[in-house]
Amino acid sequence: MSTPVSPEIVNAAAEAAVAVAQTAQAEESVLGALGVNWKLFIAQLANFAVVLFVMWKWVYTPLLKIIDARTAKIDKGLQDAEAALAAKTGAEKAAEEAIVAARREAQRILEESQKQAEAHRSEAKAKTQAELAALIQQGKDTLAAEKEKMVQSARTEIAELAVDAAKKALGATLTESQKKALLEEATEHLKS
Amino acid sequence: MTIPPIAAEPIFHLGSFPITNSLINAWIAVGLFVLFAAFVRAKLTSGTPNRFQSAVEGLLEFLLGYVDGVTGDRAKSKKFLPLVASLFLFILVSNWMGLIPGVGSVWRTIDLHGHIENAPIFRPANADLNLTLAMALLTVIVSHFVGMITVGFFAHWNKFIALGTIFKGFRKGGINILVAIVEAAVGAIELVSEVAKVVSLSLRLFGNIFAGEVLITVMYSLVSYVVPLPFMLLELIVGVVQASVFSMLTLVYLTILSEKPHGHEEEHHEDELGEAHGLKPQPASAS
Repeated sequence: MSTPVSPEIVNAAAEAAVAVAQTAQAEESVLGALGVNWKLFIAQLANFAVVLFVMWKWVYTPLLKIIDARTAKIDKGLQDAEAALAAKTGAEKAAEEAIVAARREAQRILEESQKQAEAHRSEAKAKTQAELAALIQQGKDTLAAEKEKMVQSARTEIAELAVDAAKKALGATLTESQKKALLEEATEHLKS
Repeated sequence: MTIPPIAAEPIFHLGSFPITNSLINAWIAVGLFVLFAAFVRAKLTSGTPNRFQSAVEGLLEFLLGYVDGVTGDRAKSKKFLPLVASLFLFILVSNWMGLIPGVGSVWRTIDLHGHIENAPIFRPANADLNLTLAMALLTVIVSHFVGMITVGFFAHWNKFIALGTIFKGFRKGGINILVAIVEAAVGAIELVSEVAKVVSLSLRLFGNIFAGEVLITVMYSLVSYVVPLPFMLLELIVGVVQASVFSMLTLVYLTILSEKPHGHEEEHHEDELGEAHGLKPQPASAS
């Protein structure tokens, strides 16, 4: 490969060279007239270097460090505050939920106990009614049996009275066996 | 009326070393900065800052925000802040010290180049090309070091002496050779502009402050009262403007040289991503 030499490159290079030469020359002749003196130059350079050094060491570096640390601290504080706020909101929500749940539970227990009480009451009522009915039935039965017994005894008595009356009428001459037969007959009559 | 000469006058000599009036002012400024820095260091607390620390922090945050506006990257800003802020504050204080009564008006009779002359004992530090040239050279050299460290030695110097670009151009062949050679020529011009940076930075600051000193001296000698006041106000503004111009340009040089060169990044992405050629991210540029 060969280098294609174009006029603009040569021009540019020449211009650059001329510019460098001119600058160098201008500096050579002008610098002294403008008061540039290498001793003073070094002294002034040292002056600025001292300023740069002390400001760097004692002002910028420590201050920037402090500012950064504080920024980090504040950021952390803000984050913490946010987290705390979130935690607080969460806790409040949880507490509210717990309260709602407790209320619901209480309501449920109340309703259940009411239901239970209702059930107990109706059960007791039913039991009492049944007992009452049984008692009434028993009373009725007793009464019926009593009545039966009374009727029986009345019949027997009436039959005896009838036999006695017949005996008086027929003249008290009946044998013991006749008496018994008559009594039985009379009882049979009364029964039917 | 004596118009200040372009070079700072030596007030006395320490051996063969000339102590110029600008050097005296620079020393006073340096002393102030050392005192200030020591005071800050002593007062510094990581707890609740006192008023003084809050003020210094405020200033620092302000400067950092300013630097962020150019670099667009907080980490980079923190790296550049010491140099940029020191330049700004030192130039500002030096410029404003030139307006304190006594600077440029307290005389000492000296023997300058064989003739007796009245020379002011105090002269604005930046009205001496030695100081501005020292700061400008330091700044440009630092910006090159920053470039070498952040983008790599070869990638950095390839911006100026584009041997790598030419080599790659020849390897690819065709139109790439021409492009590479044009880039190399542009690189050579860039090299000249690096020298121009030093010249323009130092002469701009020196010229402004020196001209201000001359202006005020002339005004003062014409009418001593009231008339120089607007010009002194002007000099206050010039002092801030020149300090910010110097530091902002420094910041721009630092930022530009710490960015990856365009071609380098393109190839880097071509190698890595291949098909994602059209989507390569642009380097963060100054807004």
